[in-house]
Amino acid sequence: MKNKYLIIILILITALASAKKITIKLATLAPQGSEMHALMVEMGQQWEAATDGNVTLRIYPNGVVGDERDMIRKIRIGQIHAAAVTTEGLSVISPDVYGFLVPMLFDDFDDVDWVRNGIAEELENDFNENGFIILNWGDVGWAYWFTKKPLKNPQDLESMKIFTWAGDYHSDELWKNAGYHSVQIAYLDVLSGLQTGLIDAIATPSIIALSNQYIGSTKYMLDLKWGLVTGGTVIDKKIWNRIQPEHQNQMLAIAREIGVRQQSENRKVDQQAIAAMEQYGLIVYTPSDEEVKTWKVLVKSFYPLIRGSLIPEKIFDRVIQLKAEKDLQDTLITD
Amino acid sequence: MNKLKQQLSIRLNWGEDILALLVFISITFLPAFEIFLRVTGLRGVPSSAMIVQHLTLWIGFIGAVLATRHNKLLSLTAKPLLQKEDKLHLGRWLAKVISFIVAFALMWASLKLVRVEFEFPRNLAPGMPIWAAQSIMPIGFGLIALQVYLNSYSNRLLQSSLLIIPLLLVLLGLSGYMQDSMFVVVLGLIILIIALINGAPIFVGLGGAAILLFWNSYVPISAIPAETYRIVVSPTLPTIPLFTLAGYILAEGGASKRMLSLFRAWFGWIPGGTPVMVVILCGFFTALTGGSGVTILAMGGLLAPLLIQEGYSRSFALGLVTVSGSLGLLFPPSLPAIIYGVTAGVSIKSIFIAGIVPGTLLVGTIALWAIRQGKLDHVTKRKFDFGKAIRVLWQTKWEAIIPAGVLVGIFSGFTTLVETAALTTVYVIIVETLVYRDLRANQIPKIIIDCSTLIGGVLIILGVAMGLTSYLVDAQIPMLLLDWMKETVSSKYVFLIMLNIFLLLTGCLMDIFSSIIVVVPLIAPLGEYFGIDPVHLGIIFIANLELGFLTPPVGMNLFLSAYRFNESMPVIYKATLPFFLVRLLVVIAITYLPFLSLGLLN
Repeated sequence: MKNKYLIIILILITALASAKKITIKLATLAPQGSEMHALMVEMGQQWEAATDGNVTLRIYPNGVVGDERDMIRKIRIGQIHAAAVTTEGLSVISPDVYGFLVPMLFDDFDDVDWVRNGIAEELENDFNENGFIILNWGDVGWAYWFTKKPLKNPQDLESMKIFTWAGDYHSDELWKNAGYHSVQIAYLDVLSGLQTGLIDAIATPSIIALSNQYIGSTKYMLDLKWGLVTGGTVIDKKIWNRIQPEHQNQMLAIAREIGVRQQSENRKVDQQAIAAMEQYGLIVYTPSDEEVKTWKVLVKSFYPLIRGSLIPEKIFDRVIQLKAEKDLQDTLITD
Repeated sequence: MNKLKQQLSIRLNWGEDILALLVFISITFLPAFEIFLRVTGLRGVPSSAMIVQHLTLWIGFIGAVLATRHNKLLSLTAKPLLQKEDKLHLGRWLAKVISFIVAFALMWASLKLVRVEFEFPRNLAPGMPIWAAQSIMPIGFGLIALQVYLNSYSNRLLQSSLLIIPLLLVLLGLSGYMQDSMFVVVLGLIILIIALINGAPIFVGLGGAAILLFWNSYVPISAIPAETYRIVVSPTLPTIPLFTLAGYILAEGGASKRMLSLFRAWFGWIPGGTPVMVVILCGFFTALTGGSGVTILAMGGLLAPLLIQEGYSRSFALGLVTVSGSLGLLFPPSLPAIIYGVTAGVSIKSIFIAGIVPGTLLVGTIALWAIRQGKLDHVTKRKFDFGKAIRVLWQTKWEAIIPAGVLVGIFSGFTTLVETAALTTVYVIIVETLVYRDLRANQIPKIIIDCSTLIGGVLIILGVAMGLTSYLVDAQIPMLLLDWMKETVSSKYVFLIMLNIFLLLTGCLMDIFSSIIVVVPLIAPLGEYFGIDPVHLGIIFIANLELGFLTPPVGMNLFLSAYRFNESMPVIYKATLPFFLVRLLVVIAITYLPFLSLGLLN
């Protein structure tokens, strides 16, 4: 009889001990050994120190858990708990992040910060309602056009086959409705698609173009900030709520600080990647003001097609409005 | 009551067949149609590629149900497990119980996956929610469990014993009693092995191990179907059913006879001419399809009989075809080479250039070995007749141009790999029914059903194996292994020896795509540390993994071959062993002689 109680007490103690210690499994596409990965490792170390070893972070880099949609799916079934992803993964949680994808909306990172600060709270609430906490935001970089033939204005693009993500039928429809040729292919097929000419234009961050060696096939780059590739780190609320509130606050502060450092790191990398590719023969074309205008006209013509299909109406209007406010402020300052 | 049951089961079978046909027709014609629309500038089907990928999931699961019904799920024994018995044999009883439990647990796990997806719905194409596409998984596993139950024992009491054990296990599992005990895991694995030896399907063994290990580490077992889903709907996987169907139709349509006469006319005069052609053809085909075992499935039925007709022994024929099924991954447009380049950040063109000599060496040595065998087997030889050779070539022109057509399809940028596969299938159907008229249109459905059965049996293993791999990744076992290597290994050559062994094991246990994606980023820094050229490392990787497919006891190609030729595993081990050793020598040479790979680059 005595033994029985002893066992129950032992079980209780071990149960309590294991309840306190939490291992957070975080997945990311970032390669092991990359700057991004190093920052996440550092975040884990700081978390562990700040929570007296009660929270440990286990990172799954290189996309070993799957692509970003798989990561979110696996968080929902409870296999992993957190993910550092781009809008591709975040959009599965809340389509409102597509607000960042309005083409040519941002002129510089100041604009990005302004608009993001304007919608961050709404987004974070929406994520919260869908079972996720946003730990930090981070930019991958500007998406530029990389093409096989010289690209200067929208007419040049008409004769090209434009890459769209397999499964992203909204974007595909958008291009087709606007009178362009788009081809939906899977991420893995992008390089061979470029090599064989199945596609000949892709809008992507310079760092991705460099690391995936698109440069061998796409010799031309248009120096026009076509779009922003952004993302963030999210964690499952189920595991987050098991952490003591004071630890939560510390962890959040650490994650934010890491996010800011990652942000500035990535913003530098953008130009470095372009410079590296120029050494390998990339020809960068800087469009004239006239040409930029023709691109702006094209993008404006997309607005009615995007609003309500790719990007939810409410967030689309909000983002456009925020950018207008920022422009107004900029002109006031310069005047 | 019994009559009603019978009728119901007939209806169900009929439904499965019709569904298999419909899915296969869509998976073939959708990509082909897409090419047509692109050429004519018309609007395509939105998200057509995604639909095709999900159709692969459907083909896989419907096929697996068909395979269960026809008792063709791949297992380690020849005697089919799923037949009604009235005597109790303890081992077979265990195999049946375990099969039922695993299929049932996987159904439950996939049901949870579908529920999560249903809760947060997303469309894969307009009006097509992902959860609906995924629903075939619980349905498939459920029907498999049902088949296992219905075809277990004619004795009611014994049959119901299948239900009682799982019920007890579920209670135990829910109570969490001994959940993190290593003892339970070891005991469970031993039980699984006993079940496998007694005829439980292989997917049951893999799935059972994955369930046990995930449960033991407090991870929801829905992680397994989530991974099955991920791998089966991956973008290049539709090539498996498509190329397999094309191969099946060719085989049924008498193409093997025509090809045989073509090879005889052109190469029959060389001792070992046909095996040499088999090796080259397979290498070429594997380069196109990425070595996921498609070659054996698609070409095996065509080439093995051809060799046997030529007078080679059955063992030699099976061995050669099995081994040739993983040659050629170093040649363009090999997908593993491209994936390696992308993951390791190495120029893909360099890998292809570096792969020329090692790839030729691999193909060459196997071909030489085949010629030697040709002399031993006293195969009939004949003289070369140019006029006849031209005549035969002209007769077989429609089939002979298929390989060239596939190459053009890929390299011209006209089609993607999946579209090329679909186009090949449509072309083959037309050629065999309308040009050669060896097949009547009404024979095609039966071929499709047979083909689905085969593909289902393979895809379910691939899918569930990925679930097990997912556990290894989850438990960070590849990383732990690597840390250990970094600590214990000091010399470059010791590292290379360990790399050889490690990659053989990896290739043996995992499919090539996930092993590249998982292992390359971990090994690449180590390679750099030991001073190995990254391009050379890529060649070592692919050559070793290719060989891993043939490594007993569980290399993927060995299974596929056993499956395709209806042979037991030991027969395949024996047939492939001489070839395995020859290739091992070449792989070692490739590993330790860097100039073989790097010579052409400099």
